[in-house]
Amino acid sequence: MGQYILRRLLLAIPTLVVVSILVFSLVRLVPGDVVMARLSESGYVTPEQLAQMRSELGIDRNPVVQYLDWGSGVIRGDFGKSLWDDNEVLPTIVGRMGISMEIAVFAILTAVCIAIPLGVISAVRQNSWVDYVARLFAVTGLSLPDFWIATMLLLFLSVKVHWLPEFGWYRPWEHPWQNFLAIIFPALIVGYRFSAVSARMTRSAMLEVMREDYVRTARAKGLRDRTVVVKHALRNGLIPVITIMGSQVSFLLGGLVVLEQIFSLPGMGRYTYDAVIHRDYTVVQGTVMVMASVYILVNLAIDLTYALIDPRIRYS
Amino acid sequence: MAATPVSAEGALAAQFKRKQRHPALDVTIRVAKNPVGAVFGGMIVILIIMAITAYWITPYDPLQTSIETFRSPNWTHPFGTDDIGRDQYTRVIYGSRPALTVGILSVFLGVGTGSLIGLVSGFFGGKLDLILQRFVDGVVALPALVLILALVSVLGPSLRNAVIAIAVVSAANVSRVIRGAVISLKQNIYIEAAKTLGATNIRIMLRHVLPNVVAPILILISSSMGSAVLLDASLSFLGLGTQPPAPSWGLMLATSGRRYMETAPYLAIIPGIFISMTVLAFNMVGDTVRDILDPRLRGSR
Repeated sequence: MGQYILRRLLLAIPTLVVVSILVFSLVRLVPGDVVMARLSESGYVTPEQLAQMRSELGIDRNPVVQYLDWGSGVIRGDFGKSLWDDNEVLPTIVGRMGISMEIAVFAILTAVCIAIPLGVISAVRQNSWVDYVARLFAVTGLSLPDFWIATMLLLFLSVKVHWLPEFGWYRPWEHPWQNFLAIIFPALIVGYRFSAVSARMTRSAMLEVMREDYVRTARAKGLRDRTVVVKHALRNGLIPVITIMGSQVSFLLGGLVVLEQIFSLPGMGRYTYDAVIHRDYTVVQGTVMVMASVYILVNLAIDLTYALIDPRIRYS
Repeated sequence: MAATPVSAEGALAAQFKRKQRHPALDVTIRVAKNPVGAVFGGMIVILIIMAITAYWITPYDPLQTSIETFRSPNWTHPFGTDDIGRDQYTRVIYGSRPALTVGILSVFLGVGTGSLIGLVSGFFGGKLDLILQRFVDGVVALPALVLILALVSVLGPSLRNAVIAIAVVSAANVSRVIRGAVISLKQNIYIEAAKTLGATNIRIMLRHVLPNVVAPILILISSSMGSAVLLDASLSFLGLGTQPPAPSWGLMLATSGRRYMETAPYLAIIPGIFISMTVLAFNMVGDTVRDILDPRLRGSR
């Protein structure tokens, strides 16, 4: 087990190196750079001033030198400074990650609470009205754009309820209620898509498992339906569901970019979006590296939970 | 097995007799049995016709401003007018053009390149596979929208670049699926036989491997169009897709739609309905195609 984790972590290193090269070369191909973006408001600038600013920021050097410089910093936990506002990147990411994580955790919790029961009922009562409602829920969840749901929600709240959540973010330990109000809507919206995908997967996995011989055996032994479904079938059915949840983490992070923008929450997604707009290389690189690491770690954790669900799975 | 050779042959013959139906007819029959898919397929056809004939079925010019601003939907302006007096109905109809172009083109481009990468990577294996897959892993590990945002900010916001960016993401995902399928196909004895007969690698790939991955490729094409349209809508909502003043659903929602949400809600509601219906139609057709080609995976994604 320990060896397996170690090997997986080692295998993640080349992937992260590829990600870093990918994003590094990508952001550097941008026509115009952060200096132009920063000085665009200050009127006329001489070419000398531009050159001086570029050399101050160190972005006039050879790209390979810049990459090695940045890369060795990342290994030491130093992601460099923002080219836009000179703040250290890593501490800013850590500070902003709390909000995004809070939304993500709420979203995943709601999704798990809705999706798995819904998918199970839908499979057990295949072609009943519950099944149709569940499938409708799932297919609309996949089709409605998150930004439209958010807009419609805000429209409904402001026109019909005459109340809007206060935009901005509060620390959960200082203003727990305001904090909850600020994150609950984006969490539900991201969670909707998440649960749609998971519910579909639960349903189809359960349909498959329910036809297996061992489920029939369990029934033949005279076990209650409930025991058969929950203890025998669901356990095997959960594996593909958890796998797909892992791959949905990427959608979740993407959804945060849009929703943090709409609900003005200063999280990771907003930070990334602003950095892309400002052509702030170091911040884009930093957030992308962090997001890729999160994705890789979450999927490793998911692979490890397989053994908890199915004791036959051994890691070697 | 107690079956005698005669009855086994009989069973075999019966099986072949049943399968004698022409594949095209077979597909037609299965489509007819899936009316839901057919209805949504019809919706896509209507959307495509709408996009092509936009010039003839709209009463105004999509960029024509007028003094009639913020008209609620009425007989002369069925979907109302926006903040600078442009007819929303005209703009929504024209908006189907970028949505469908990006959705369809990016999927064909992405699935095409992805299949090629998956085919080569899975078939040859070894170092090439190892290197290609690290790149695929790298792309897959990044949130699709973030990667697309970064790509588009590099390439510059435009329709063509939205197509390229979405295609890159879909190619990475597609190549994984096809690679997996190819690796399991490679175990088959007939591949071994073809090799023994001295068939070249290209011949084996084209004649023996490719025909067997057509079904997953078709499934991937039909099931990724919905998400491609959705990604394009998100991109233009964030201001990095189709550029103003050109009409695009995501952009309309983000600009006049959100700004005048409370006074002119129809500006936000209508483009959103069009995005949702398009994505829904593509998703439903994708499900139907999957059900037809792969009954084992019914309802999964």
